[in-house]
Amino acid sequence: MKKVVKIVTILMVIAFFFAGTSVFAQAKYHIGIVTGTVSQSEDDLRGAEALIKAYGDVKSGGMIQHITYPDDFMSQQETFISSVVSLADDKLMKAIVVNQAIPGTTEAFKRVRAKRPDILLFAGEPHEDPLVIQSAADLAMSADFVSRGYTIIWSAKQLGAKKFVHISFPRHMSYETLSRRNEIFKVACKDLGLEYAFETAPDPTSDVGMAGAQQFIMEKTPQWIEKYGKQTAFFCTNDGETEPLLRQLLAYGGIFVEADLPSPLMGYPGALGIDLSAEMGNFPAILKKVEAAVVAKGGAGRFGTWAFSYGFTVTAGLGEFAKTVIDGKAKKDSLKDLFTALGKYTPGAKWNGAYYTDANTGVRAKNQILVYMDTYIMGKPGKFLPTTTQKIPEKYYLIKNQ
Amino acid sequence: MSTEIIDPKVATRRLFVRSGLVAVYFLLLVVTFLLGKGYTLLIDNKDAADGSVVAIDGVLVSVDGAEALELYSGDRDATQLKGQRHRVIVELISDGKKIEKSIHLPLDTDMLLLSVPKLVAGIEPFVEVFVLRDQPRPAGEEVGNTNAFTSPDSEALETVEPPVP
Amino acid sequence: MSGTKSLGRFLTEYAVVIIFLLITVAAIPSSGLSIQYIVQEMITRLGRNTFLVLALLLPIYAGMGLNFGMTLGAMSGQIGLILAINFNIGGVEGLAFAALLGTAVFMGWICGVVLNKAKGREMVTGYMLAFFINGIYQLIVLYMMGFVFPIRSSAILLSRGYGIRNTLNLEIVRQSLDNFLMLRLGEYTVPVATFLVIAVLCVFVVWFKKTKLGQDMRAVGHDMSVADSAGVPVDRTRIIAIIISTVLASYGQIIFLQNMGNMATYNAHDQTSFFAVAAILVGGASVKKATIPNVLIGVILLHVLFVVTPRAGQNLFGSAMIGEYFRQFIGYGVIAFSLVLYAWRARKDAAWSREGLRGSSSGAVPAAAAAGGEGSAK
Repeated sequence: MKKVVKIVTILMVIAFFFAGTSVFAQAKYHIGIVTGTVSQSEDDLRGAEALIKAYGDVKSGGMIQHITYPDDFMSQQETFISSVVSLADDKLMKAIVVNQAIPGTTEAFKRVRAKRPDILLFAGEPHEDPLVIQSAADLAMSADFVSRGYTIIWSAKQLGAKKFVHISFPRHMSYETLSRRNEIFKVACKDLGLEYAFETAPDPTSDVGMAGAQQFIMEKTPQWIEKYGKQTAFFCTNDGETEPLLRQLLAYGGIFVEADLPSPLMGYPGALGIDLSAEMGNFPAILKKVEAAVVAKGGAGRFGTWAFSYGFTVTAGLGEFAKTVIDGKAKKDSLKDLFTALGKYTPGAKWNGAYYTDANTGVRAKNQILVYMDTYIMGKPGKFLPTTTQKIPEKYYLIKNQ
Repeated sequence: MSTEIIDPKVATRRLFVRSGLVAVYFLLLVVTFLLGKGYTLLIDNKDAADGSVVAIDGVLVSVDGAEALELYSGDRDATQLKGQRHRVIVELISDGKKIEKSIHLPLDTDMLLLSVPKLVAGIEPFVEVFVLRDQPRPAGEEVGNTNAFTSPDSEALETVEPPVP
Repeated sequence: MSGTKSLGRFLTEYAVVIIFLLITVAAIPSSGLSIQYIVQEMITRLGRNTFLVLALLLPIYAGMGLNFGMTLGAMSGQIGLILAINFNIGGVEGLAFAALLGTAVFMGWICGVVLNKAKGREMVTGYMLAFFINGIYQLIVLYMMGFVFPIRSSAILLSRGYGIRNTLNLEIVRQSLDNFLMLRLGEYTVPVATFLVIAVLCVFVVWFKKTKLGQDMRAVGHDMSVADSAGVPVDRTRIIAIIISTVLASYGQIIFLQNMGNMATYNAHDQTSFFAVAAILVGGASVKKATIPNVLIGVILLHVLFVVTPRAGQNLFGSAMIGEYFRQFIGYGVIAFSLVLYAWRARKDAAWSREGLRGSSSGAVPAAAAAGGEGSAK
């Protein structure tokens, strides 16, 4: 036993000696970006790569320090939290952007804040409850789960849908945001004359795994189309399950307005079997290629998406916003400055956004923003549905979970 | 489980010890519950709705010897408390008069409101349960659609108004 | 015994520790993290994880291998915490309340009874049992809470009226044990109260080994049939070992979560047993033999590795993603290696004890040791 202790001590001393020699280079300050991996959320990661391309990697004297969180992030919060906090170990770190802000982000932000109050903390697509993430983040940005509860149903109606099927599973329904959007779907369906139905799919993080969940969707979708008819719009809360759903909808009929986190890259490349490596990061080109493939398979007028990837834009846009704020060119509570930063990565896109209003207290949060873009319906020619200019009746904003 | 024959004396003693342990377990549960029960106490210095008391301009309120909160007319502040019994000291800034009261909070609620004017005027009860109701939306704030924005760029994408079926 | 032989023995005994140490030490400089950060993180993680890992010791003494069923205890602890938050009981009292409610005697008893039916396959049985109880846990927390059992706090209840929210904010008990007695040593903060709790548990384990029950446990661990014929109630002893382990695991999970400050309601327990087992194996323990120093060394090594490898991998390979995969690959690779090494060492040990006149040098119960030796699990 003593020997081990001795060896441990000696090796530690050597390690300490080496560790002191690492040097950070030229950039005046650093921005930390935390995203998922390619297998979990590719769009988010590509956004970070776009930032590295623009401002350089910390390792080579640039500005961006990119790290990823584990794929099974729900059970590895400890790893996630400490890797976010480790970013604050860098003296030059001035901002941290987490997209998606998975559970544990609030705690990580609290720890960073305790250590380094000067660091800007931005959360993209928080998984935690709005009031929780608002307690720690300087700014949180989510896809507008309130407005989209209405606009998705509205769009489905424009495409001629008679029924709307919501595919999810219990763990997702334990998210306040997803659960509340589902309630809004129900009310909107009733108001706009669509029939609402709920279908349960397996949870990919459970024992069946992603492969099992996708297999389930592959087998079930034709049956659902038989049950509900071809004039039915499908919506799935899980990103991984979107791909087989799209594939089967292309083959058997049915309508797909947009994904939970819409992007031309969400599900389509896999479902269509197209290679987009040449177009990487160029969303107009990606959209064109995806659209051509959808039309070729007879899906014109039935499939929609946002023209730019939401995940990509949030990562890159929040990183850009952090930079402009640190440079003193923008204010962190200015919606206009934020949209300008987002706009840099989405030329020509129509946005809408609002501060989050708590349904219980009516209090408007100044540090959480809900955004959405116009829905693009692929066809020949494709068209935008003007969702961002739709007047959404106020009552939808006050719908609570039942 | 074991087949050996147990002496009845040992058996009774065992029974006593075990029921004692169970009692201690429940006692500890109750003690931790009572000691750790958390409350949010809103300290309120506003006119009563029925006009019985008016707010006092300038009081210092200290709960359990914590740093005093300074409240002027119309102010409301919140403090976090643990346990049921607390000492509230109210000091009027104008004449330095000190009033000391002890309060006992009920177990079945988390949020209470202490009215300083009532306490000073000696009206019971000056602590009441506070219910978080649906607050009205702040006036003049429209929801949604207020911030439509188009990213600036050369080729603005065209929006087609769809035919309404 | 000759010198070379004792060196060889030392190397096989501590091969996992040494390999882990080398990888960790090599990874520290390339991670670019400051020593202050690593040391502080190590102190925090020692306080956070050690209790959970210590919960594994007793079943190992009782010859039941690594108790993957400790997840049952973790789930009980979580239910205790949910209820403490529900009643708004904060601070150290809140933790004590959660610990009392989470005292998983019944869960441990179930686990012990099941494992007695599966002698020799305790580890895989415990692992599967944890999956089964996980289903029941989800049913209770996601559907029955608020529906069957009243939940009064709207902050933890889904606004649909039943089910607990996906992530619980443990603000009212957050780090209350750690902050109860926080010592500042220069730039480091040391949660003294947490370490005291861990120290008490260590003392308990040492003391327990000397009691009659502790001796029985070791006897059962060496050879069940010998213990049985010596009049030790084998099944009962094994159940007690598992009950104690499960209860300790529930306390450990509460200590872990109070430090984390929030709780993934449906997933926080998923990896609990796995990381605890990994830590104790990395610390040089085996399925048959473990000590308190194994636990401490293991927690330090495993967690330093977890802290430094993501950044090291990233800096070495130039991609953030590879950093994360690198951590998993190294971490799990070494764990697999240590299990393989254990099997190999068991054979080697048998060879050594055949060679030498003396039997296993670690046996505290010589008769049982001589009879059973260090074989594969029985």
